[in-house]
Amino acid sequence: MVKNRILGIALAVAGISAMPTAANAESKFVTAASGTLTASANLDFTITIPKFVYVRIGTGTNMANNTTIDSLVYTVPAANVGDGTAISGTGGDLTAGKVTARVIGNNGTIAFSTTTVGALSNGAGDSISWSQMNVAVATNTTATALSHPAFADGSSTSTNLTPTSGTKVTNLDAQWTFTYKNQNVVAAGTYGGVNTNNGRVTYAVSMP
Amino acid sequence: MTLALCFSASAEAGSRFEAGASAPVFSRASIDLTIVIPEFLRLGIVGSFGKIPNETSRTSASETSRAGALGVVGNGGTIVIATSFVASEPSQPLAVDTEIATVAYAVAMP
Repeated sequence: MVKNRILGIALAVAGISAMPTAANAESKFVTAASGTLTASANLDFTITIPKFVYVRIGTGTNMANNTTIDSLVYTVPAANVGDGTAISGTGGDLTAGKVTARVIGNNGTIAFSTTTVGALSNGAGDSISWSQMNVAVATNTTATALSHPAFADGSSTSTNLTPTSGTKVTNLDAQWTFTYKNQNVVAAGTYGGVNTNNGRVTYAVSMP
Repeated sequence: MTLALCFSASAEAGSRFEAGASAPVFSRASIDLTIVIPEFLRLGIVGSFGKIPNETSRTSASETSRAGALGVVGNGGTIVIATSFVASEPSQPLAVDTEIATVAYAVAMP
């Protein structure tokens, strides 16, 4: 019985000695008859930044999802089929075949890629290679323009975007203007389209 | 695996925002392209003077124009070319021993 009481007292003393010191308390009250009185309290801050990556091609919402997919259309005049006259398009958030392109991420080098299912098809056995599409890149809001990964028929190509600020943050945008090179006489028809006949190109970003 | 499932659910988009804690993050956006090529059929006859005459189906024939070339371009399938003798005209005063003949060329494409 006596032993248990002594053990209890010992534990109580040990617990008191293990308590935080008064210097780290949220409040402190000091009093004295004379002399300078000092008191301090602490506050700790934590800011949590999530890892994120954002890609926008055409119509989009800054730092949020937007389900709109832009459709660019190129109509070749009959008198110019295959004569090498570049054909401007219609559509795009900036109109006339021009779109906004933007990639932002905050955790290191970003792999930026394009993917097509295959050459543009007219659904009747004829095709136009994606190499017939030209992309003019111009700066938008960032000092360096976001480059366009090369098109490839039925495959993906990728480029690495190195951080533009510090060692982790990448922020690049551009205005991309697509034109049809029109270098070959091809069969009449409508090639590609809205998610049909290989008309869709998908841009993807991947960040560690 | 979780991200892949997320993509198949989100389908395509104009802009995509993805955030994650530790695993790599992915995102993607798309555009659609359409190229419209009209059907056309072009016929050109180049005479001995090396130029296409103003009249698309008629050219001035001369003794040396036999070396002229016929050019046909079309993009709608097999092209059928037909020729027909149209007329023969008397020789011109200064063109002794010559005769002017007109031949018409016609092309057809499905």
